[in-house]
Amino acid sequence: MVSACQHLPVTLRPLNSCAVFIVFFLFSIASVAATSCSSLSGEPVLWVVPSKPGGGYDAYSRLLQPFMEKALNVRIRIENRSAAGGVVGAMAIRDAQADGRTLGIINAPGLLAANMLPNAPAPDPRQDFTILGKVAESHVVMLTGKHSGISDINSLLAISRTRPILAGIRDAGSSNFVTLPITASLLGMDYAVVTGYVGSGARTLAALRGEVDVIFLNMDSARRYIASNELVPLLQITDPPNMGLSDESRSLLTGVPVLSGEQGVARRQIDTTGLTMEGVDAGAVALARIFAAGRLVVAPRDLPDTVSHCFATALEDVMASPEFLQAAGKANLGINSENAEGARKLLSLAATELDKFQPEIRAAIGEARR
Amino acid sequence: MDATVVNAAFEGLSLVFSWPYFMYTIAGTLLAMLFSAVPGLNSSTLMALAIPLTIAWEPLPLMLVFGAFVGGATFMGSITAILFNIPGKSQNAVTLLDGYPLTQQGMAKTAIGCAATSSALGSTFGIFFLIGLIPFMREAAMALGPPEYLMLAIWGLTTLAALSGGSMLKGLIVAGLGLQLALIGYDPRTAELRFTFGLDYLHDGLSLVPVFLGVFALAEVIDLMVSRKQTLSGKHHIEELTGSVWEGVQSVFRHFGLFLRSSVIGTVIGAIPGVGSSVAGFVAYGHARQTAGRASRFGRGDIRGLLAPEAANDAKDGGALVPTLALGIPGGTGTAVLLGALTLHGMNPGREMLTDNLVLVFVLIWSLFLSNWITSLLGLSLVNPMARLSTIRTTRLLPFIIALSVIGCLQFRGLMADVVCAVLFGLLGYLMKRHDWPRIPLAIAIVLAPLFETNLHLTLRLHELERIVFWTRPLVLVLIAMTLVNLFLPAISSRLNAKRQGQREGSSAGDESE
Repeated sequence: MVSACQHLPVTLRPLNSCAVFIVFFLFSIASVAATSCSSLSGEPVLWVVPSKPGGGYDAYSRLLQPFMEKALNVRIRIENRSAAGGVVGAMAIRDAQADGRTLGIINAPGLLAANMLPNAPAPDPRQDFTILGKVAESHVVMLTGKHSGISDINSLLAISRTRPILAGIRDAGSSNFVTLPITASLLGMDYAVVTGYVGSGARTLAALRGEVDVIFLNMDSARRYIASNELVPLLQITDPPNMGLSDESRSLLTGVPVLSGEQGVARRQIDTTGLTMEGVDAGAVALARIFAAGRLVVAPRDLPDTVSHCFATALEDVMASPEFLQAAGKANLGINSENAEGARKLLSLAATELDKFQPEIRAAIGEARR
Repeated sequence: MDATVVNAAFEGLSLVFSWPYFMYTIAGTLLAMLFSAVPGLNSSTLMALAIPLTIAWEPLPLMLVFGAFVGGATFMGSITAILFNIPGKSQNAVTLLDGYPLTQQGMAKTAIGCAATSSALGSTFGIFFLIGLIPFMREAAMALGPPEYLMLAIWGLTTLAALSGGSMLKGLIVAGLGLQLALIGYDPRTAELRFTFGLDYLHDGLSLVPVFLGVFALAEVIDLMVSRKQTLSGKHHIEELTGSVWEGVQSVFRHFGLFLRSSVIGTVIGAIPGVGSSVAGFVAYGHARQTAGRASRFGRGDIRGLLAPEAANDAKDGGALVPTLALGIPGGTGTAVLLGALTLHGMNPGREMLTDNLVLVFVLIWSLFLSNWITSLLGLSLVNPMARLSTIRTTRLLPFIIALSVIGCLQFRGLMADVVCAVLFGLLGYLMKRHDWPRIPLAIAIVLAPLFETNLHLTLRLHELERIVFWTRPLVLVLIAMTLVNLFLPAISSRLNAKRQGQREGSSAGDESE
């Protein structure tokens, strides 16, 4: 900067020309940043939710909406584009103009899983979006119906020695479909799949009616069924457990075993699975990392840096604000936020871990499609 | 009934009618009516928009307003269906099948009177069914599984035979086309894409709103333009219109058995989670047609074809609350949003809510009840100005109908491609109408195909894994019997009629020879 000042016209030097230049320079930067956010005012920003109204993604979006509107000084219009487990909504975000008028929330593990399908049309969360931040993690729990005769994970494993455990899943391109073969291999559990239970409600009913032995749900969806004793939580899939969970969810999961770690069920099953200790830990950590990618707020790819910075900063500020955290607590929605950089790193880790299980997952997909 | 339930019911009722809470229901109903008068918008959209605005509210006004949103929006979509052949929502597509022909015959007042009465009484039936079921809600919600859903879809599909408008072959061909169209998009089991031809728009399958707007509303617009009909009803003054509101109200009581059966159909289908809101009305319509006898004028302005789906459409709201309140599993999109709103307010629908917040549950139910009646009574009071629309010259009305159809398409998802889809189906609908191919089997096949496909897969898989025994489930057996009746009763009754007629002719010939 000093050297730059040395080149200023001589006439400006008596006015402390260097200071003027610095002020001018900083003002220019500030005005560029202000323009990027202020340029958003006027037309509303579209926020795409890739699921039906009333679900977990919708709840997070509507919780964020008033806070983000205030932070950005712009009206946000939420649009639900459900279907195909969030793929259609994610495509709508991917295909929108990168002009700061379209945002959305995506299920990153779900999209990574959908990308494993042959000829997958699903957007790749690593390449097709501008990542703005992470709102929450998917804390996945394995559950059974209260009349299933399965009281805990030990009784499930005992049954699995006599017959395959039947799992109810949405479809072959869902994140739960990825969870099943990895979890089963870590537990040494033989399984069979029933696909076609679209929505957490349909899976819950399947477990309650005893059509299937187990289902996998995010804690956001499972909480009310566990609270009313309709579903019994058997195992916490993600690790470390209870991260970013609401107080109520944490208390509901007290005493429920976890898959990974020293006290984890996977290590206890080494005799059955024949895996090494390292192999077990790697598998359990991989599952945790896949789900740690979580629920991301994204915009179309190639969003101008200034605009993405504005969105990312606003999101980070909102998620750190006590008012937002209080509203989330009231709604029993766990917040486990990451800024844009942190979210990108977690996503990359998740994709790397998922790649390691490609053969098992592809085999399971092939089996389901037969 | 349990004394706790009765006490909670009365406490909820007194809260709904007390000042100033009464105003929440009124305001919510009026807002829902205004909102749902625009095709493509529905109560789910309104509730979703209201969630962030009501986040700081207390639970009581929230229940009142959201109950009113659910109740206030259902009937208004029927008005545009009856008057202009424009289904306000996909569930109203069935209303226009006989509602619009009544308007064309100058009987718009009768049609609206019938729809309002059937709608209000249907919702009352659904709500009292729900209240009666509160102690056994959980068991009721669990009684149906994939085999029952599958048989329900098959039963609905067999009514196609009656809806083919004379030519069974044409009906079957059109139904086959409908089933094929419904397969477009993701396979719900394997997540494979089917028949999308590389178009992103088709990934989600064909949406009912643009398809129905095209097949019915735009097809009618083209027909009106080609036929150069001067007004929708063929009359130029309201005094020339035949029929009356009272006649419409009476028709519901004249066919009270059909009304009750349709309400039961609506309530039961409403209670099935994940089944589209259009299914109840179409199945009730099929049932009405099936049981109407040979002299019916279905599709050409039969009042029974209007009252049956209206009763079912409104009764389903009560049914949809059964799994929502009993288990926290939404019966449809509307109840899913309601569930989301309750969750955001820290309430847990399910057993906890039925024990700890039973009064609030009743506040919701009574608000729904009240808003349904307010909507219907307001609808009845506006019959004359609305019926007058059927006497306006089509040259003035057509731009309005086209604009309303396009708005309906765009409001639905904001996609221009939906308008293109509606136009294409409009041309198809017009050609079908022109060449006397039935359009109803197309609609009913598209509506029922997802229910059929998903549950066929689930039933086969669960049967294969020996998790269910298809043939020993009582409800399945009842539905099989009903399906057989649907399939064979028309043939048997026509043979019996022919035999009777033959005997009559024989005896009259004998009389003459004597």
